[in-house]
Amino acid sequence: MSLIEVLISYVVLPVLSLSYALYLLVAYRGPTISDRVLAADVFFYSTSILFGAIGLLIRSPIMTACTVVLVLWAYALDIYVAKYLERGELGD
Amino acid sequence: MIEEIVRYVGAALLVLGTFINLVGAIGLNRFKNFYLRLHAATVSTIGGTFYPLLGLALISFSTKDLGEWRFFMGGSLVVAAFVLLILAPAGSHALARATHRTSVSRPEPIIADHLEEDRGR
Repeated sequence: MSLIEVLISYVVLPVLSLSYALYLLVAYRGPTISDRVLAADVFFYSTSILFGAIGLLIRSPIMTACTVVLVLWAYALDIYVAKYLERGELGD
Repeated sequence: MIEEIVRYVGAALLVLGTFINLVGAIGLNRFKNFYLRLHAATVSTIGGTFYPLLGLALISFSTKDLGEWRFFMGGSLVVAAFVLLILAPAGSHALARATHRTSVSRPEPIIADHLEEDRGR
C-alpha cells in the first residue's frame, strides 16, 4: 500500500465516519427544522469527500463524477426548504 | 519530483481538512442555537470540504497508474470544489434569511436586532 492509501484507509475514513455520526446526531435531535436541514446539508457536502476518497482508493473515475451532483443536490435542498419556510417568492 | 511535491501537498490538504471537518461537527453539536450552529457549519463546509476536495484533486493529478483518467478525476473534483465554494455560502444565507424572517429560531442571547426593528414587529 502506498502512503496515500494508508492515509485514506486509516485516517480519513475513520475521522469522516466520526463526523458523520455527529452530523446524524444533530439531524436527529435538532430542535428546529433549520438545524436539521443544516446538518443534512453539511452531511451531503462531506459525502463528496467520501466519494472522492473511495474513488481514489478503488481506482474508479466514475465515483468522483458524482461529487458535483451531490453538491448541487445539497444546495437545492437549502433553497427548497428556505422557499418552503418563507411561503412565497424568495427575494421579495 | 514535481509529482511527489503535488502529491504530498494534496495529502496534507486532505488530512488537515478532514480534521477541520471533525471540528466543525463537534461545534455543530456543542453550540446553543441555529445562528451559532451556522458558524460551525461554515467551518466544516469551506475548511472541511473545499480543502479536502482540492487535496484529492491534486492526489489524482499526480497518480500515474490511472492513465488518462486522472485528468477526468482531478478535473471533476476541482469543479466540485469550486461549485461548493460558490454555492454553500449562498445556500446557508438563504436558509438563515428564511429562518430569521419566519422566526423559526430565536437568536439568544441577543442585545439588539435591527433587522427585526426595521420590519416593525
